[in-house]
Amino acid sequence: MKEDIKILYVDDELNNLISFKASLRNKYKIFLAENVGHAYDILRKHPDMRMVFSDQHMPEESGTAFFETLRKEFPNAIRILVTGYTGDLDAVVEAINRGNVFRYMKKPWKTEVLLRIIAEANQHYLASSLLAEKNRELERAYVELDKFAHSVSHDIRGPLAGIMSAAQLAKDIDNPDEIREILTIIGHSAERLDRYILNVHDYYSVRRGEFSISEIDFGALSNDLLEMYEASASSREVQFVIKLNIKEIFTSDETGLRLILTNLISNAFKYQKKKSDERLVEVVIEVNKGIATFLVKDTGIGIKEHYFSEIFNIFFRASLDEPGSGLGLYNVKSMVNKLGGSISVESEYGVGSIFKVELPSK
Amino acid sequence: MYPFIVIDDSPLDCLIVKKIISFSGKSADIVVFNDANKALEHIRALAINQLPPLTIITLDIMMPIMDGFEFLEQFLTLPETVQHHFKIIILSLSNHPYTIKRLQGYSIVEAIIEKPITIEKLNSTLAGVLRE
Repeated sequence: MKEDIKILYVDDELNNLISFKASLRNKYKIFLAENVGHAYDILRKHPDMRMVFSDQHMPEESGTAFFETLRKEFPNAIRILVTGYTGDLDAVVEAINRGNVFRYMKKPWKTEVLLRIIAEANQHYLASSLLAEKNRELERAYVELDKFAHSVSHDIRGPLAGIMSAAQLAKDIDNPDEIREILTIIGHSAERLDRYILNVHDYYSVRRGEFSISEIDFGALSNDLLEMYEASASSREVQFVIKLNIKEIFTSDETGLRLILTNLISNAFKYQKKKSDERLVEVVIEVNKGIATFLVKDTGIGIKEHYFSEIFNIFFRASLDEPGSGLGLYNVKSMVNKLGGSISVESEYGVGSIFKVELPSK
Repeated sequence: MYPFIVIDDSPLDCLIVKKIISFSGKSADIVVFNDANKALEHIRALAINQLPPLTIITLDIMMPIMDGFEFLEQFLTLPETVQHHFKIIILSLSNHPYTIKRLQGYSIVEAIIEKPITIEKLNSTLAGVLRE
């Protein structure tokens, strides 16, 4: 089987080039160059060259000198030095120190030695690129953690500081009405803290991403949701409707699905207009051709268009009118991504918003 | 007795600060803002001859939309004659050395109180600020 591994060989002796290609062309993509200039032309066209073999003794430039410059311009290509002179220990030492070669191969080579070197070089390449990828992942995780630590100080210590201040204040007060008011503040602060902790819990369960895929019973799900939001709906005078149009069986992770829907529906209730005659939260769920589409519509305060791209970012908040952790929509988007779906928003400021989620059946 | 302007994005924190100030007996005239922009608008709208001789501003740092530092920058663009009518006290959760150092760069910041705020902390800070 021919792999898409690109290998370049630079040598001023044509015979060597021909025999190199002859023994490898069935397995790898081989490129040949008779001099360093030609080698660079090829490298610029194929920057994904995985390894470069070079003869040490060439008329214009030694293999070592070539590798020294190659290393700067194409650091990812693995360098292997080829030389016919035996006992040329100085050249080898220099090649290792200046050109940072991976292996040193003697001419004439045996095909099995050549194949072994290529296999080892490839392994080395894969290990180091994996390491580089892991490093990038770590960096991303670190940036997120940094934001997280920042938010923890604000969102956990904030409500706690509120509770501490209020408790201290209550000690100095005798009026029972005032004390009751302060107890209410303490209660609200504790609720804020609790909500934040639940969101953090969601955040970690999304990240762990352990799914259990099962058939979704939308009838039961919709009854659960109606029951869950009954109190919110009546206390805020919001009409809450769920419309189902399920044409076929849909399988997905039910916990993930609930996380998505409850976050979107909670937002739809939370961001209703304060003064309005008609308040509505409508959920439409359709399953057709292996795709489930969820629409969560509200007659709320809406979102300004320049925030559309930012609302799914971690710790972003577009409004101060309601308490928020900046994690809700971030969790939703992460979960939608993990389930292989997509999310979009349409909104008119002051009129309302529609969040649309599409998920493939798993 | 001086008027107070409380700027904090958390309505609960505003309520607590307001209660603490009123129970400390320091003021009965307390205006709160959850959005620092609105506080600036409020200050800008006050005519110079209407300004009380001294108003105390308590300012939170970590706020979405406009944070405490942006507020300070905007405040510095006001005419100096207006600035002189205010004293700013930072009231924040952050005791991060970097934040403290950055705040020390603003001469208009009179004091920093780390949350949670108590009547004692407020009293001792105000005593220091008003002695000057």
